Amino acid sequence: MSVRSREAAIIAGLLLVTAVFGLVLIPMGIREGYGSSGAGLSPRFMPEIATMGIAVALLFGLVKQLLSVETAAGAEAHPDGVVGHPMRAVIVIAICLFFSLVGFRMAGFYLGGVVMAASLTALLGEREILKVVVFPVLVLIVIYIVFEFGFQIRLPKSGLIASIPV
Amino acid sequence: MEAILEGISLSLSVNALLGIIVGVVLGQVLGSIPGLTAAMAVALLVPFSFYFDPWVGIPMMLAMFKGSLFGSSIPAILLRTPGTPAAAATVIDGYPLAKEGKGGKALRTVLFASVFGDAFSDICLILGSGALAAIAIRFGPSEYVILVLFALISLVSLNRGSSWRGIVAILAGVLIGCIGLDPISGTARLTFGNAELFDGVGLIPMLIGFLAISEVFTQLEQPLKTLSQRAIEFSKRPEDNKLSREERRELLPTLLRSSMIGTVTGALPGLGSTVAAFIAYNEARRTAKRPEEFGKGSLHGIAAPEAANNAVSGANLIPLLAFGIPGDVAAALILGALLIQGITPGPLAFRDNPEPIYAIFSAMLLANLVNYLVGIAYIPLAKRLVSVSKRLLFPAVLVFASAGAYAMRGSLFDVQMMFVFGLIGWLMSKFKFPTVLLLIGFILAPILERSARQTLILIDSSDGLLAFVQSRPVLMILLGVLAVLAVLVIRQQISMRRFTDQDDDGVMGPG
Amino acid sequence: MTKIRFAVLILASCALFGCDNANEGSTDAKYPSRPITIVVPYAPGGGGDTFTRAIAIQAQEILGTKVLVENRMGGGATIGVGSVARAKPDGYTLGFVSSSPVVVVPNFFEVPYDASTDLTYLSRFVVSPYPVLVRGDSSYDSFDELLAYARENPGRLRWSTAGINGAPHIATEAALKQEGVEAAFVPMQGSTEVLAGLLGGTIDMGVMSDYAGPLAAGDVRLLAEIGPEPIEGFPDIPTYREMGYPLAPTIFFGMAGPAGLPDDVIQTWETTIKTITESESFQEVTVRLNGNVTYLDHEAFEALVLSDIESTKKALQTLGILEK
Repeated sequence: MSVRSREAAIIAGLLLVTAVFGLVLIPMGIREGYGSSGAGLSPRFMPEIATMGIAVALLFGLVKQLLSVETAAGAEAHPDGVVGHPMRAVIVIAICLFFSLVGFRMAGFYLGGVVMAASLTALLGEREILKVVVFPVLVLIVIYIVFEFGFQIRLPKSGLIASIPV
Repeated sequence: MEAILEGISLSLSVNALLGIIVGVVLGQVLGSIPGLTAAMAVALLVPFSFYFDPWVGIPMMLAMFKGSLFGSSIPAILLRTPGTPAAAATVIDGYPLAKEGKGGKALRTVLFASVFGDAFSDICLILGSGALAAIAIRFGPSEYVILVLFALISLVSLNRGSSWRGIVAILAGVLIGCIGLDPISGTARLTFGNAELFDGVGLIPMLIGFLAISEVFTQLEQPLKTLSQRAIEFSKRPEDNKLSREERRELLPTLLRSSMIGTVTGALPGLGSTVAAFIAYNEARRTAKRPEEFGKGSLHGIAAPEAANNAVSGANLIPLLAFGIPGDVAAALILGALLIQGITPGPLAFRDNPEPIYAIFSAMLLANLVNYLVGIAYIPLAKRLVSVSKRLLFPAVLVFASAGAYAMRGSLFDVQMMFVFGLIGWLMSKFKFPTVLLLIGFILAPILERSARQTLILIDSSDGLLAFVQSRPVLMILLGVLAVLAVLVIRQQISMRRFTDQDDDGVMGPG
Repeated sequence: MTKIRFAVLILASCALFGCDNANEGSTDAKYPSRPITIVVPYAPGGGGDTFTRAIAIQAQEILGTKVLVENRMGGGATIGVGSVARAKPDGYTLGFVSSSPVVVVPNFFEVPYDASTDLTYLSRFVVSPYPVLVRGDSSYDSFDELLAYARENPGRLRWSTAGINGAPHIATEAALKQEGVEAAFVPMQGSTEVLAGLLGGTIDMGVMSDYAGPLAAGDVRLLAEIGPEPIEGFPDIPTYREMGYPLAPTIFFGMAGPAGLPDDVIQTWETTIKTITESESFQEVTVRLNGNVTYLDHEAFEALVLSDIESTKKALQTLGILEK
């Protein structure tokens, strides 16, 4: 697929999302005529204006894209100027989401954090087992000291081992 | 006069000095870790301030804020991941300069600008708090509408990419800002029954997610070989690691202008340091002799946002000391601590019990000096800390950010939001949507909406629109100024567009 | 190679998660035998947080065990209160409660608890005055004068208070309605904005608690108190109860735990809080934060909360804000 039609497809997809948002989610998610509201605008006013604005801007972009002359693909230019491996980022994001949704709750923040940092380090190509394990443990020890002692903030605990409060 | 001398001598006591030093060190370290903000640490200090003398506890808190504003720029420059939202604008020119190996120079610039901004606003606070606050208090909802519109108009010009992408990003930010309880009627908006969203999307998960986490994701796409290298290399040449006298002198006009922007923004409750930093950056670029350097490592582009965001921190105390109205979260925390100490801020505090106030003033000035000295010592240490390989550093950043996001509200939901925003931010930069504009929409839209709807109620309860405008002199002045500025900005937009026609991605880059 | 390592990691994490049955510690004879957590549903540094930490520091000495404070904010304080209501009723998870999340908010939103059955109200330690204020240079010398102006100029009196649909808002709406006054309510967030609006001339009347500084400076004056009791030192300022308005809410701060707390836990905390409220240092903190120390034991506090819940609901229905 050419860059132009790919971009156009993405914009069209975004337009669809915007339409669903404006036509379904806003009426569903915001009740009108509620409480002791006096004069002034409806609570739906701002979200509706913003959604309409997004739709107009996307339409403009779509038209511009379709009319534009095909150019060489210059996408994914990072300021560091390297070609990326997007799949790795996807895996990293999946790991982060897994720990924030499930892992920290089940294993506690400290054990979960060590496993998370260690698995990420391993994924990123660190092969020295000592570094994979020791560095995350060090990081979490620092967090433990800063939060539990310094701030008196208690991060989630698993209670796996009753005698050690992690 | 006696009270002033008494105050100065109090602030020079061993305990007070120790408090300042501890505060600055903690602030710089905490600020430099993405996800940890000084507000969080200071909040937990408040109840303990009962056990300190006011001239020990309060300067310690202020020192922490000052330190953290400098500290948060360190990862912004070296890793492209701002430690706190206030440093978001520093990334634009700081990171390119650090890429050239001149990270040391960039950090020195930040330190110099931060301390300059701090000192400027502290002096404004000490000398002119009464007068400034008397003007600031006349700003009601209708005046805020004009101010925020002005900020939006000027900040939209930060976007140098395709304009429709910028508009989509800003409005997406507006939409996210609408989530939560409606500010006027109190009905739930787009929360879908989730009580965690009643107070809106948290600012910290939002900003750290879009700025720091999304950047980490992008960096982790690099080949494994790159990831095994250090995050950043530093040039060994001494002139790349310091700020020369000529450079300092050349920065002075920018610093003065930015500090003034920061002081004015800080004196008005509710706008905040992130907004001030962006406005100052934009002003510096607008008035620059060499605007083409911006976005490629201009020292002015680093100094302007830093001077402005630090200037906010002192100016936030202006309405606090004059009327007991805190300018932002930081000032609200200081207010709490002052109350616990038995000092009720306001004009009476100066009359009845002035020594602690003067002690706090003199300690603030002292804290700037300490901030500078500690910063000089911290820069080499920070350089060494980031010199581990990327594959060790970035997982650590992700774990620290998780801890910080959790700690803000004691909620794993915020950690999840942070990563979801990181994902969205990563996708946005893939498709060249400017995340920074999304954040600006998110920060400014709620203020704009609330003020606009309040204004409508105010107009409704007066004898028509004309009578309302006439009853508010500040509003009349602002309307005039806005009209003139709008014309100026549009004219400049046109000329700048001609100028940078070749460089479509421009300053904000794809991020 | 990478795959194998990954599999090992996943297996290892599964093994960790597998044995998730938390060791809750055996029920010892003597309470308390391990650290107690007090959940604060508000931000660190705020009034509720400061009071709780002041109590925790002293309770730690009296009880001889660690008393930890945990901030769980959000959802108009309902998330934190909900987590207390759902906690195990063993006395090791307690919470700070104020009037808003138990008396007012459940009327407007679905909350994860039933305030009249899911909580044990241990004791109340502070009530906070919540007066009606006008600017210092305002021409109204009494609440009646203000009402008279509003009656003559319908819709012209602009007023505000910190929380939309909070107890002070509802009570004042009810009062104005009973007086037959039509006023313009300008919704604002937090007492900071209300005070700024009042001093800057955006509104003419504010209802808020953090008034000590501006009052001392002469920037504001008190006209009335929304609660049932007169403000200490201002016996002439009329209260909503004296004036016979439908709602005269007490803005209270207290301690609560989940429903079904054992009697010894309730008694331990009753005596602990009583001792603390009698201490000089706590009274000093309270005065500085604009509160009045008014201790209520478990029974009296629970009765107060239950009657407040009832009366608020009724008032909201008669005002037409809530459907019957």
